[in-house]
Amino acid sequence: MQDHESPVPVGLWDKVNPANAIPTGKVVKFNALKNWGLSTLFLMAGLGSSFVVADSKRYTIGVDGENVNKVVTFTSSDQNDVFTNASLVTKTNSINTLINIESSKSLTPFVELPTTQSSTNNITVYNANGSSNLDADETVAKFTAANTISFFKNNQLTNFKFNSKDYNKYLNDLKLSILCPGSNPNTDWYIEPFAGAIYGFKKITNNTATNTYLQQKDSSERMRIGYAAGVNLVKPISEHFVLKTGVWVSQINERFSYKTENEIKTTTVVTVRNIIRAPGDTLRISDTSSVQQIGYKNTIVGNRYKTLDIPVIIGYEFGKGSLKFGVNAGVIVNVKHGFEGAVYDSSLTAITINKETNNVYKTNIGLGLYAGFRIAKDLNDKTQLFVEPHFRYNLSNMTTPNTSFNQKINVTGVNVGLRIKIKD
Amino acid sequence: MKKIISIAFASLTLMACNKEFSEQFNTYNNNELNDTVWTATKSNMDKFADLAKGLTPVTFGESFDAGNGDTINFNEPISIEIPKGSLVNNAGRTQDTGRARVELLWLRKKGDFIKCFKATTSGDNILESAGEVFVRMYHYYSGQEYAIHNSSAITIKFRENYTLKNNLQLFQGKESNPIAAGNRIDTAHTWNRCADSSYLPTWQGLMNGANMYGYVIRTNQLRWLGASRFIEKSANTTNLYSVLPQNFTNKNTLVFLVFKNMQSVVAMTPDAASRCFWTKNIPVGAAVKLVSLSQIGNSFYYGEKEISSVAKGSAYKIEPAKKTISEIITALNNL
Repeated sequence: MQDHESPVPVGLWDKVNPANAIPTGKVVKFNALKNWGLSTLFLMAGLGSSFVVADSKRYTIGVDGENVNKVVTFTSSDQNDVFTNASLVTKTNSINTLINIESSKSLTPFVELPTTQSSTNNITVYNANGSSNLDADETVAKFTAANTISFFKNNQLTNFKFNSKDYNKYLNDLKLSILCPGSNPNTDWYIEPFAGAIYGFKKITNNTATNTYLQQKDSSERMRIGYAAGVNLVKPISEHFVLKTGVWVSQINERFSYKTENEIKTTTVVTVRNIIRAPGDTLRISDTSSVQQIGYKNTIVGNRYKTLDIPVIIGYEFGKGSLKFGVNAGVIVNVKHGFEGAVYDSSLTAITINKETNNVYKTNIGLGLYAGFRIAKDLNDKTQLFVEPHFRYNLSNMTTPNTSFNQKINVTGVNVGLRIKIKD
Repeated sequence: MKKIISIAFASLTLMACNKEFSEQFNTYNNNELNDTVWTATKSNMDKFADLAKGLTPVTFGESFDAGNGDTINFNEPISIEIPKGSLVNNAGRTQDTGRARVELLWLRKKGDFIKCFKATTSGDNILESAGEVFVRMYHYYSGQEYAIHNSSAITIKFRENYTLKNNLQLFQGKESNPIAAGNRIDTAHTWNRCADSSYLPTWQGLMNGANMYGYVIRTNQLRWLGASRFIEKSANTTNLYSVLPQNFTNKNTLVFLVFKNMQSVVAMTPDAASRCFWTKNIPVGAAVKLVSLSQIGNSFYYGEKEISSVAKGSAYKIEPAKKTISEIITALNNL
């Protein structure tokens, strides 16, 4: 076995970055929850700065730090144990260790230290039916540290199997995650451009307004369909969890209708008069003048509540085949809020306000909570179409303290977008 | 799939760009401003009540002994002499006791004639007037109207503001029957020359401490009296028409023609068919001014159109503007 020459595909090792060794003898196991927590911590700390790509999926089998380049053979009746039971590794010498895992039954995969890479921490794991025969389903795995095995997919192979077990699902999780600088980088990133329709639910409480004012306001305002759009930057942080941030814009639309009495409408008309001065003598007068009418006017103004936000979203995604599902939750940080439209003043006269004259609504509405359910379908290897019904709950009022009423608008909607792989 | 995405984004874009703004104007029913229809029948003058009330000039009033009569000098250059035993009550008996009151309204200028809606016309003939007087006497307490005994006469002296004319005659105002009550405009009013067509005497002397001149009316008639004369018949006269914006109809508007160089005012006649006001017998080349007064709802409108030389068969447009009563009075005083 020491003379065995690893049939490593050309360029394989160029793709592999050396990892920082994890102290020998330690057993580190990342489960999904820990991954989420750690990654969230990192995200919070590093938000607004750079993200570092690193490797994420690690399966610890245990290392005892003995001799270098020693062939260690393990025997297991169940190949799955390799990934779950550290005790299976009874002898390992160092990070550069050839590990041959044999099964006493059925097929026998093995792990081998490539002699040409003896100075690295990399260990290749072959799913071989025998000692050196790779078949089309074989997958190359790698030890990125002495006590860590990371799997990645050989570009030339389509499946990732140890015996009959399908580990394709792990491949995605290997691609993107966020770890500290210096960790094994995983270069997978996604962007999610999206747009969607939203609808606001308004909650109004009284501050100093009269009941008449509130009733008039209530009867004049009706929420309408608005829109949201944005771009997310997405980083998977484990098998199921992703972290997102980005830039969102939205516009909540509201119909403000009001009635004004005693309105004068002036219309220019052409009046033709035929004045008979005498039989056969008619004076025709064509007169352009204005005619006034009095009445009431129903005016409808489109009120617009505009927001610019930065979200911080954690997503849990699952599913089989090309159809995926996900649950997203997080915080939305408002950067800018603006209002254009009409409101009643204290005398119940409708006044038009814009960003220059607005003293009713805040320019920043603070934080909001976000929850969404994602349904996605793979369009191809790099693109996913998704639909996401969502709800946004704003934590604070959008009105200024001096306003006679307090108003908050919570939003629901459906976003449609694409998840596009931008780097792997 | 691409089509679906494209349609979705296009829909969103349209939805976002769709500025929701609309105004719907609904006219009030039964509001006079919205009524632009001319009436073919006689206009209801009750609608001008507020305008008439606001424009009515100050009325002079004084009480006196009904049996003895009196000569009353008012604060303005007008006086009235009521001979002893000249008042007759409605039973035909001479009123020889008690207090009576005289009320007198003196229209001196063209604007005054319009304020009281009293044109200086006698039928289709235009009069030049030096002044019109409304005088009535009544029992001070009961308000019972008095007349002047046939064998007696009251004497009214008033000042001429312009050149003294020697050929004025006494005209009596013919009112509608029954007499228009309150502030109702009497559209049937016209001036009839009295049977005594002699020229009114003039006077010159002191009145209220000032030297002035004027006319003397001696009559046993009360109510509307005028010192006027027919204007000289011109060989070249014409009809004159005036048109106004649609809001101004014969239901809410009165139009007068005022001569610039003489004390003459003509009330123009509405014509529903052609939706204009017109008058006849206007000398071609005359300098006149058209004046419109309107009351639409509670609002008043005033319009003027100055014509330096009347052209034959022409129509002139007046464009009234909303005014207050005091603004209208000021404008009329300056005619």
